[in-house]
Amino acid sequence: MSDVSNDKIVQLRSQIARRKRFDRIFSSIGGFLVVLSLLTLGVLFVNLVIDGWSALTSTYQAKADQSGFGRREIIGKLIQEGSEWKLQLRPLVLTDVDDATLQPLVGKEVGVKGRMARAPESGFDPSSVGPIEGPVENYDLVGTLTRQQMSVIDSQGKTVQTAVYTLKARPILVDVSGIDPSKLNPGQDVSVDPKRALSGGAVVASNIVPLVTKNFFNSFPSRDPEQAGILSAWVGTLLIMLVTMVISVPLGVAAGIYLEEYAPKNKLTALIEVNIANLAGVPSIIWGLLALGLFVYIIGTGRSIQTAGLTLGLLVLPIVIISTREAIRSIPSTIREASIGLGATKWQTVRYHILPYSLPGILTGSIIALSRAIGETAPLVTIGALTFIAFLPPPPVEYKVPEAEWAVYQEALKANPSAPIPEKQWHFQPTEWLKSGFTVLPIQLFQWVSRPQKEFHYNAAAAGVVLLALTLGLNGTAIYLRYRLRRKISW
Amino acid sequence: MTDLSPASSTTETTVGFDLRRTGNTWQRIKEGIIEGILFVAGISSVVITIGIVVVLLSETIPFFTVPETKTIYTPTVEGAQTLTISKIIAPVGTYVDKGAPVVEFSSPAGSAVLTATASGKILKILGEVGTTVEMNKHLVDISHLVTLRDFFVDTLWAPVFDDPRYGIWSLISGTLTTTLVALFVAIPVGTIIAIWLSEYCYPNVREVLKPSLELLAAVPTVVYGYFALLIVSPVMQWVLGMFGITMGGFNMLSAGLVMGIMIIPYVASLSEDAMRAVPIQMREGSYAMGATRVQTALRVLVPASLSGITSAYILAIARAVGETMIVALAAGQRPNFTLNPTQEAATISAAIVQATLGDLPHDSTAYRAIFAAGLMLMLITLFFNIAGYLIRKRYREAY
Repeated sequence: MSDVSNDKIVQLRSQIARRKRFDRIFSSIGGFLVVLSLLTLGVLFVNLVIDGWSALTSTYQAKADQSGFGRREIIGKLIQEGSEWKLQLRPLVLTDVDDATLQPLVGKEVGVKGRMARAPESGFDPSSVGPIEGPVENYDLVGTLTRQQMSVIDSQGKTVQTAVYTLKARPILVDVSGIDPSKLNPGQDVSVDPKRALSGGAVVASNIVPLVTKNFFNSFPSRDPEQAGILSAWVGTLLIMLVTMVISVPLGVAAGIYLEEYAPKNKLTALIEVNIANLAGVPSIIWGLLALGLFVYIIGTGRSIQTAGLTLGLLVLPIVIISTREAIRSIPSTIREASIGLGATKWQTVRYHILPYSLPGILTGSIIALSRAIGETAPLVTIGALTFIAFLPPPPVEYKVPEAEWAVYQEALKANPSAPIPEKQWHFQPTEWLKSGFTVLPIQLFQWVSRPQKEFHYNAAAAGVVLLALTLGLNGTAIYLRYRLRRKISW
Repeated sequence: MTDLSPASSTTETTVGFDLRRTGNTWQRIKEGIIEGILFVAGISSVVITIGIVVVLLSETIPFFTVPETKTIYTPTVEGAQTLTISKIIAPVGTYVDKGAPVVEFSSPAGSAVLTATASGKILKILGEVGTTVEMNKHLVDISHLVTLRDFFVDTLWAPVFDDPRYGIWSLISGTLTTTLVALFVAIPVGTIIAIWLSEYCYPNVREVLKPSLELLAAVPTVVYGYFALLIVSPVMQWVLGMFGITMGGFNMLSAGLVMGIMIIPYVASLSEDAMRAVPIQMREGSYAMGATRVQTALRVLVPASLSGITSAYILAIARAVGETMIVALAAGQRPNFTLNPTQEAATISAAIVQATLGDLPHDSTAYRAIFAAGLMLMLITLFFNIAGYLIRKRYREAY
């Protein structure tokens, strides 16, 4: 060291310090980028949850027969008093009222006549509200009136004071003649069309439609973003995943076993191996073209669940094959040799040793394949799934009126309104659902994002939360399984 | 094979012997059947590939060989209600080039010449010399064949226009731009993450971080599309707005950025695998010479694992080229021949999605066009896949 000058040492030290500083900077950049990437995922998820929360959690009431609300619907609750059935209407809000005429009636019994509605919220023309004169039966509704001062923002954006009247109607009688009263539930929310059903203070039971509470998961897509849901989408996703797994797992595992255990080392095997690697890299839209050209138009399976399941099954096949092969490859050859040495045949070795030991790996690969298939959109759009699906595929067993008889009945009904309803029968149609049209979660999301209205984007976010939770959940399961099973197995 | 009938099995030993033989024969048959089934499963992937190629070709070949009929409408002449055909320049059966005169008209307000909107053979002229025709009425049918020149030289993709155009370059430019933006994000970020994971990170932390990063590739692309269109795009509009650049809601920049995030795991994970495969002696040798970790990584590990890193890049490119939903949602679906990322443009995949969203009549040239575009996409990804395979094979350093 003696012949090295002091300057040189200082210079070297500063050089080392510089290199170490660069090393530290690089380390923090790397760590920062990892955190940033993970943060993107977090931001994406949190953003979806915030945007989609209202759509995910909100509920609304809908008619059980899915006929949709009329503009002048009246909502009420069925109550039973002895043998009599009554309908307790919700307080009716009267808008556009003449404050001077109604103010003297506040707190008194009032009657409503002439139910032709003008105000959409209540279904009652406020001008028909008046003091009771003569028998109560002459009125369609009887109740008490209350008045409230409210601040409302008008069309010019100014706050104005306005009077809002609420009519709390007495329960009205329900005419249950000609209907089985056991079908009515006390406390049930129901909807009544006032134009048709209400007369002389009574309502005919057959004009009452029960209400059910619906949410995002049990509603069909709708033009109204508030009522749009993902029922047909998640059912479609579930059924298509079933078909996908039934196709890809047996085929993929069999192919993996063949390549690892049986395939001779020749050109054909090499071709298959290169081919699988390439197949895994084929863009998903190309699979859609395959499905459109081959399945939809040549084989003729239509734009149905079976076509979609088949397409996605083939799409994820390389993933299943590759993971099966990796799982089998990690089994030491001593296991095979021991089995063969004991006199087992090749298939016995595979059946009793190779398959059970590689099962965790195969399971992990299948879950990864499933999560990939759930999120695939492009191939299904190409098949032509992007339609408004407000029905579910037919169940395998159904109790219904046969379609031909129903058509005959509909014809007979035109001539004779009291034609007998044909009897229901049991239908066994185990494969009918495969031929049904479908929509899936990612397609529903795509459709909602493509719409210009902001409200549909919230629905899209809610569908995104469900989709992301499904795929991340499946991937998390696969990672956990791989981690646990790897620790458990020791050769 | 000996006689297996029970009558001949007189002694116990013969019975045992025969049964064993029977069992073995059945066993052999069973083994053979199983092997056959497994072979069929193994070969299925080849059958699928052949299926894909056959389907793409079976629509692409008619796209270039089956002519489509194009209609030409009579021109408008200002001030005239009807036109009289004064001369047929190109009679039925002759070939015309695009822009060549076909029919000459005269009218009180002036004369006009009808020119061909596409090259091809004249199939039908609805009217003879001297007949009077209304303006803007279907007059001439031309049998037009889409040529390779139309496909590769034209710069507009508009299969459903009255005058359809099939210029694939306008789609390739969109694909190229979004892919480049994605690589601009993914390659630096992914490579640095790979180095950091392999050289700086504690092994047990890496065991958690690596699968977590891989989740980025597991997010459904349609969710990324939502992210790009509704979150990234407004942010980028605001950021570019500060530099005085205005950008529409649909742009290739946002789509490319999000696609870049999506392919980070492809780059990072595979590069990290390649770097960790470098033997420990090379690393230790570098440290022994006094190199810091970053010097070891950049000057020893990266060159040593270059084949693995390159194939990771190529895989990421192939993935970005074929990506559909992000670009279909965020980059718009309007073909646009530009390399400017702030513009709206369709990629090959987005154009296919856009075409299938509408109701394309089967057996039309527009329907066949999406298969031709799909074949193009397939060839591009195949090129990258094969290039990656060859690089891996050829430049693999054997330790």
